[in-house]
Parts: sequence; C-alpha cells; structure tokens
Amino acid sequence: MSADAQDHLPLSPATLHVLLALSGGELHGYGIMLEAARQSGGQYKIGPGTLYDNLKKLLAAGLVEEAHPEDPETGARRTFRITTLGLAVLSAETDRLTGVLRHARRSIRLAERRS
Amino acid sequence: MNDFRRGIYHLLLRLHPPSFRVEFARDMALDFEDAANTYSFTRLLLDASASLVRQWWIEISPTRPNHLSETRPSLLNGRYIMVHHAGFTPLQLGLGFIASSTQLLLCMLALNTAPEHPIRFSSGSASFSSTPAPTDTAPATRSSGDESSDLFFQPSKNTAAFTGLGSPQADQLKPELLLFHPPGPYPSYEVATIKPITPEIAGSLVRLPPGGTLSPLSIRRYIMNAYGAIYAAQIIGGPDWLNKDAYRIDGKIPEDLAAALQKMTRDQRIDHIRMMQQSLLANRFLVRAHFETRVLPVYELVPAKGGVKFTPVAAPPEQKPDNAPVSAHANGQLLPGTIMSTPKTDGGWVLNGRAIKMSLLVRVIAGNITDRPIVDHTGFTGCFDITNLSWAPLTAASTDASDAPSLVGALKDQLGLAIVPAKTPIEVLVIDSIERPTAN
Repeated sequence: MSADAQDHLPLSPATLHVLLALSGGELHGYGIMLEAARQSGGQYKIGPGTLYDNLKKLLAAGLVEEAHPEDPETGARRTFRITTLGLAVLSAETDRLTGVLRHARRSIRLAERRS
Repeated sequence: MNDFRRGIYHLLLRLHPPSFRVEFARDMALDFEDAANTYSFTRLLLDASASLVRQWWIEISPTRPNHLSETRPSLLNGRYIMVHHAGFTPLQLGLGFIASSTQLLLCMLALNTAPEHPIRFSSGSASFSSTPAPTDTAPATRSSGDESSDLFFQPSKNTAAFTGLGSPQADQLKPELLLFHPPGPYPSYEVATIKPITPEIAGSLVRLPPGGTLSPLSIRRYIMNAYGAIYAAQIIGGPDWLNKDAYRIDGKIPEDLAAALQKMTRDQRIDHIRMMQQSLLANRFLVRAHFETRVLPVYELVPAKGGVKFTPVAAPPEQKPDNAPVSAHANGQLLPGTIMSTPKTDGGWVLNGRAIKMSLLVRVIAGNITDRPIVDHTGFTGCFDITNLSWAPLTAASTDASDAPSLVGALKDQLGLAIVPAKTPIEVLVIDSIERPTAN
C-alpha cells in the first residue's frame, strides 16, 4: 500500500461510494448517483451537489479523472473514471474498514459474553 | 418538471463560486433533471444549498485545502470540518459571517430583479404609454405634424438591472441578441400612410418564407425591423392579427433628415430608420411594450472538435458615408466584407464570403435554420474567408439530387464550426398592447 493512498484516509461515505461506483467502470454523474444508491440498497442516496463537491475533490486529488468530455453533438454526457491512485485509495480504505469491522465484531462478541 | 422549481435550482447553481460553476454547474443541472423523478425536490434543494455553502467556504477560506498536501489529514476536510477543528478562530467566524451575509444578499438581489421594465414613450410631460391623450388615440384626425419628433426614449433598465449586480452571476445573465435601444430623441416621418392589404394581394407581392407563416408585410415583422430583432421569437405577445394582417406602410422622410442621412454610415442610417419606425408604432399603433431577458432555446455556433478550419484575414476597409455605392461582386470578385449565397442547379447552395465577420455568417445560417435563434459563441472576433461552402437544404428533392452535406455538416467539415442546441438569455420585446391603425 503506498503512502500516497494512506494520505487520503479515512474517506467520507460519499467519497467511498463515488470511488466504489467508479470502480465498476466509467460513469456520468447521474450514473454514479444511481450506482451509489444501488450499492447501498437504496439507503444512501447522493444528491448532485454532494456528488460534484466530492468529484471536485477527487479530481483535484487525482483519484478520479475525466474519461470523456461532454459531446453536445451526440448528447453524450461527461463521464468520469477512477485512476490507479484512486483504486489504491479505495483498496486501502477497504482494508481499513475491514480492520474496523473485525474490531467491532470482536468488541460486540465480548460485550455479549459479559452480558 | 416545474419551471419554477427548475428556476430555483438553476439560481442556486448560479450562486455557486465561478470556479465550481464553470466546471460542474451544467453537469449538476443535467443530473437534477434526471434525479427530479426519483428524488424529492426538497432534498435536491437542500443538497444544492449545502453544496453552495461548502463551495463558498472553500472559496473564501484562507487555508484553502490542498488535496495533495501532507498536512491534510483526509478527504473529510471541509465536509466534516467541525469534527476535526477544536474550534473556530475569530477570523474564521468573521469570514463565515461575511460569506453567509453575501449569499443572502445575492439571493435577495437575484429574486428582486424584476423582469419588467416598461419602455416609456413620452411627449413633453405626458406619458404616451400610460394615459394617451385623446388626440393621440385618434391617428386618423392627426395631422402630419402630430407625429412629433420630440418623443424621447427611456432605455430599458433590464440589462442594467442584471449587470448592476456587478458579480459573475450578473454577467452570466447578460442577454444576447440585443435589440435596438434608441439612443436619444426620435426622428419621425414627415407623413406616413398605412394601408391594409388583402391577403391575396399580399401573397402576390411577397414570397412567404418556406414553411413560415409570418408575412414580411405583417406588423410583427415591422416591429422586428424597428427593434432590430433578427428572430420572430424575440417579439413576444400581441394579438394574432400582428401575424396575419398585411399592411403597406410608406413614410416620407423630412428633407433635412434625408439630407443628413446621406452623410451617415450605413449603420447610422439603419438606426435612424428604426427610430422612425418605432415612432410610427408608438403614434399610429399605440404600441406599449417592454424589454425582458428570457432564457430561450437557441443554437450555439461553436468551434467543432479540432478547432476552426479557417484563418483570420485582414478586416475590410471602413465604409465611409461618401463612398460611392458599389456592387458586392465587382470585377467578378467579392468585395471585402461581403458574403453571397447562390443556388445550384441540383437544389443546393454555395456560399462565398470575403473578409467577413462571424456575425454575417450567423445571419446566413439563421436564414436556413429557422426553428431557433443562432448565437455566436465561437469567440472568433476577426474576419475570415469562405470559399465554396456547399450544402443541400434538408428537403426530399434536393437530398435525392445532391451528395452535398447539410448546412450543419458543411459548416463542420469545411469551417470547423458546430451548431449545438442550448439555452441562453435572449433579449426580447414583450408587447403589452397594440391597436389596429386607422387607414389613411
């Protein structure tokens, strides 16, 4: 795991969902919103404002890049894709969350035994 | 989608910092349209408002986040800044207060920008538009001298109202395709005759544009000319007879003004004629109207992918008033500053231009693509040549007979220009009231 990836941890829920949505391939803004909702079973919906706040940060940090600009002639929307660094950050965040989950489960089990 | 809701959302987008707005506002607007059916409007509104606050905070924050900086602990910076900060410094609190107040002020200014700014035609101290005097309402009994030349025009405050904000948001609302605003006192025709023409005779006098329903002899077309409107969509409202009734309007220009016109440039002459036409409309048709800025569907003329395919050439020499009139294609060659489209035998057209400005090409395009106004967003301000730009109108007969591309295709292939649908603020004239004239 690179030091660069660690610099960006922990990720906010919105950032995590955006990166997770883009890990499946290039998407436009509304596609990211739909994918984030699908991944969370409809429990976490990102609005356009939150989405582009996060995309702005991700673009600036180099975790996401523009895949294709908008094409007014064909009506194709602007699309985004995750970068190699973005994948590394997503992987690092997943590892971190896995550790958190493991710790949480162990804590819950111990608490259940005590009670 | 409710236009009002869309308007509120777009207003919020316009209030975002320019750096964010330029890059993401269009995407957000598109996503808003898509999400409108699955998200509640309140949720979208709150989401955009939160984004607005966050982006302005980032914009004015003295410690603007450096996303690749080692000192930045995580991407949560900015979003959950209250969690990471032990407390705000007095400077941060002050800046936050200023930012909030500025946003509130901008919202109030934007919402209070009334769209209606009536044009006042005043003769002396009497307001011509509000309560016309009995003599003014009886054009048939008015002598020629009654079409006084002391009418004054108060320019619309519409543009100033928008630009008066002095902010990037105001600049964005600056309308395009500006109408003609008379600069000073109205000159008037010495005498004007207005005679109705039966539709049969009108049809034989003029050839109506293909597919068009607006007679060149209609009063709406006359109003278009008087206000310098290129497109019928810029003249809004008024009764149906504006489109259907045909009139022959002849005005006699006073001798002193006719002499003065000879010494003017072409543009100055056109402006004076327009002022006389506006004066006639005010006196004989009792027109009341006001300017507005409306966001209308248009076609943008923009550079295509790969950029434009022409090179700038020297501008044509300025036309002096005393220059003798010359043919546009003297000696078999186009004069600088002129453009000419000629029909081909297969139904297509060929366009040639020499040292023309983009506005002239836009005029030609507007004559062929009539469903929306064309606005020039090429950013090209110089002059250029057009050599044998060939296209075929999109009609069955010509398409079958010619391999030439459509005008849109020809512009893209030969000039590197694209025509794309868009919406943009356009200045329009809204007719509040107008009366049929009494023929003389």
